[in-house]
Amino acid sequence: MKYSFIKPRQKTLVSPEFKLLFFFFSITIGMLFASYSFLKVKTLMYEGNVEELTNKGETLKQSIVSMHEKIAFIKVEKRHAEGVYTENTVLKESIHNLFDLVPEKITLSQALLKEDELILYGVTPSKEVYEFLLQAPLRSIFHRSYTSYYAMPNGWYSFVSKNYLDREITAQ
Amino acid sequence: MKLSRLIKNLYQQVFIGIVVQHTSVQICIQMRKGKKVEKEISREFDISNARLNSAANEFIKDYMDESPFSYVAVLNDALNQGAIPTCSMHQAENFSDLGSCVTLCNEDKWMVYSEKTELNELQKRFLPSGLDFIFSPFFILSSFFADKLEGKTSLLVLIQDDYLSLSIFGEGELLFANHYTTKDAISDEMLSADLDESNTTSLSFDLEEEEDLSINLDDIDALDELDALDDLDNLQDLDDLDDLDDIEDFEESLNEAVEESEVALEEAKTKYDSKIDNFSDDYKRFQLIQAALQQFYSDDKYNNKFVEEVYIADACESGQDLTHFMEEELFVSVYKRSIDLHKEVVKMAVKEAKHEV
Repeated sequence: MKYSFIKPRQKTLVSPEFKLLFFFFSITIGMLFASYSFLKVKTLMYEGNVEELTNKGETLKQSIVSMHEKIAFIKVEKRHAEGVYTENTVLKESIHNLFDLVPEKITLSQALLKEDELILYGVTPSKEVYEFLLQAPLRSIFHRSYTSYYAMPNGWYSFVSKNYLDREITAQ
Repeated sequence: MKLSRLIKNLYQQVFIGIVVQHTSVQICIQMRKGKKVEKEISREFDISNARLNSAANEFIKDYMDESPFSYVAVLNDALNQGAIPTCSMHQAENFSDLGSCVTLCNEDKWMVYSEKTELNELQKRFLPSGLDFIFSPFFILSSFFADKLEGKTSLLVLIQDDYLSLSIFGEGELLFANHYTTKDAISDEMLSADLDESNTTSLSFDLEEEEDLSINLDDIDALDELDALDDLDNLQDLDDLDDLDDIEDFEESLNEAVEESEVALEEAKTKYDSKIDNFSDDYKRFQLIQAALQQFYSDDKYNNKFVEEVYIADACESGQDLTHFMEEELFVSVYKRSIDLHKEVVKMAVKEAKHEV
């Protein structure tokens, strides 16, 4: 039932002044929260970037280390190659010298060239030819030199010459 | 329970009941928490022209600020208001023209109405504090005498300082209702007495610049026994006065006549005041009630039921004269009960606020 000629005014817990104050405070707090959120997101993104860059740095450091190792290995290989090349050059030179040593009258059928050892198989018209023309230079090069002769039916001699370098003695 | 009602019960509610008369306002403040009344204060302020002064407004505002749930209720003091025994607007045309009225139906049996412009004017008068409820005195009356509505045909009368509301109920149905102002009738008499006093300027003789002596002819009509005024008959000889001496003599005689007339006027006023006392407020109210009953009995649309009992809700501590008048003249049983109208307004506001939740 209704007794009043008019309706009562709307009752609210908060006054219009408080509502206005609350509205502005809400906006301020909202803006602060938005700024905080923005900064928080930016910080998180920055931290993510830092972590990513740190990982990248670590990876690069590791690759640098591996590259250094590779460079060192390549240097070793280079030195080794240089050594091989030098040895080959020396060997080539030695072979060239060896062939230079062999006179026209002596024919080599086989030559075994080792590090400290040279074994020559060949045919010589006479022992003297061999001794004078080949033995003498070989002796000047090697420390020890042993030669065996085998008479051939045609009067020539096949020979086996074993020549050794004594490394220890050379080192001493 | 609704959330809003729960919040309301947690908060203190302030109900302010206001009853406005022409020269005074009664205010009742009731502070409630849930169903418990925590504080009740009643105060009366002297005002003029039924407009609240700053002290009254300040008093109301102070208590309104106590709680966000404060309700200001006022008793409708509109002159053009009443109640009619139907809720049908079509049937209501037989009783009153409600074209410019706000109506409220009660239990689909009868309705109260009030002029819209007067309600707006009432709201304007209460602009500083604002209004939540405007109650009809007929609702207050019917709820105050709720136990008397059933049964015999009874006349319920609400007496205020300046207003009188009466309604006739029979077997729970409203039969007749009317609202009157007693202020105009009384004040008209008072005003006419005042006017008599002020009308002394209506017939004045400006004998000298600083003197303003006067005679009120209207009053003179009422003063048949004023022998002193007989001397004024000599004024007819005024045209015959030619010389200064005659004028001076005339002035003296006139002054004497005026003084004598003033004395006579005082005596007449005293006599008039006593006459007003004789026709007291109670008699005025009795006359209004008698006229209303005559209207009720003479009009066929009210079914010519005989009023057997009269219940008076007295809000202004009137004397026993009214009861005696009615018992002797109307041959009815009269029962008078005092009513704290401003507290009843608060009660109704509490009831109404519950419905508004």
